[in-house]
Amino acid sequence: MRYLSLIALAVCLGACAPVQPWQKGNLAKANMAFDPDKLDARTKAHIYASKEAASGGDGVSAGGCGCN
Amino acid sequence: MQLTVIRERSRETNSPGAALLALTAAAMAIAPTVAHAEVAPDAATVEFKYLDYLDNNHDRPRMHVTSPTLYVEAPVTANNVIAGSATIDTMSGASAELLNALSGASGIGVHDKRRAEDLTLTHYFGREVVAVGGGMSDENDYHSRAFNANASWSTDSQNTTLSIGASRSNDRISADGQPFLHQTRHTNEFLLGVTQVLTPQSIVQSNLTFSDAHGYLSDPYKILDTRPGSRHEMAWLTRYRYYVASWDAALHVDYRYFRDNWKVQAHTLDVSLYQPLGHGWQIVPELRYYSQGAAYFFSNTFPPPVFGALYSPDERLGAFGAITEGIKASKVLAKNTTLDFSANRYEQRASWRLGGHGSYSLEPFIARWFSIGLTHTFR
Repeated sequence: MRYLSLIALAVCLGACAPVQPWQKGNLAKANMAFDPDKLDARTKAHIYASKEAASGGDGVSAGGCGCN
Repeated sequence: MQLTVIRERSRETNSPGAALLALTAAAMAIAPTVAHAEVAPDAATVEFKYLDYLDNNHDRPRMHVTSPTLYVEAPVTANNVIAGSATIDTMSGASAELLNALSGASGIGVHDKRRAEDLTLTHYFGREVVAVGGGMSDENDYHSRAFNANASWSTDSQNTTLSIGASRSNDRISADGQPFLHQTRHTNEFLLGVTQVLTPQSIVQSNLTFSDAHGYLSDPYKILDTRPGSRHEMAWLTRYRYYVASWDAALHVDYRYFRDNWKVQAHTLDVSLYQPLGHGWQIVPELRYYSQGAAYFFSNTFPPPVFGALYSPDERLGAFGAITEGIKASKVLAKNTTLDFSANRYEQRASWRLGGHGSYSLEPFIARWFSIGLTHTFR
């Protein structure tokens, strides 16, 4: 966890004065979500996991499949 | 999974009163709900998506998959949300794997169905979110049961969110034409993540996931495919979102580094732009590059170099690069109803591997998929 905090700190250095609540209107837009279309993201993860050796990073598994 | 949902609480602005409300909301009400803190959805959403996937080797159609999915998300109380989905994949075509396994019994068709369902219950309290879920996936030769739990905490300023997650998957494996093959596979996964608001226009998330699989990891349809009995994977995904004010667009940049104890290393870079066009239209071009090194026991020679040793001819464990070009368009049809369409083309080539050639004799592989979706929010 300390490792992750350090990563956040590193990307933040020099860039951020703390962002105030009233400055977050644009960050709240649906298109700024990490996965604006959850089903689409899941479908792609499923396709890539069945064709490539690498997977993961976007969450913990919803279960295995005979495709990989 | 449900860890990082940012929701827009926009208001209709078709009357002066509504406009004033919107302004007030912009100044006051929106602020606490955004950032990164998660907010329980206040309305149910139903989404239907239909996927059509086709791949081929050397211009020969190989596998065709159609896949309708229904997703429902509904608040059950102010702080509890239930979400679930159901999918049926129907696969047909001549499987190269099966042809290999059956020693060139050409023309044998493959027809298989996969049914998958999952359910997640999410509880929101203050700046903390806890979710528990389960999922199952069933094919005639593969059955999987999975459980997961996730939690996240946001700081007072709601500029930083920490996430943890864990899952367990128990799989049973058999194979058509091999009545004595009954195997199991167990997988534990863990997630650690941090999300940080950087500026009023940018936000970043970095997740580490660890996966630990034990049991039967070979492919029963590949002759002499013999893989290790365990696999330890690490994936480090960093996702960056930047709001391009002059275009009202959102730039998405994702990078993932992956490695495992099969000595596979992979890099993935995914860039997309969410560009509203007005009149309810939106377009999303996407470009993805992927590169992987080979597993140490991969070999595309047959028979295996050393008989009885670890060996896999599975091209997915070879060294190659891949490029995806995608485009998605969506249109708001009526209030709270959106139609979307996407088209994607994917190609793998040994020579596209990052910094060098890939595995010799891997044939180029091409896939394309289309999807059409309809989303309605009951508001």
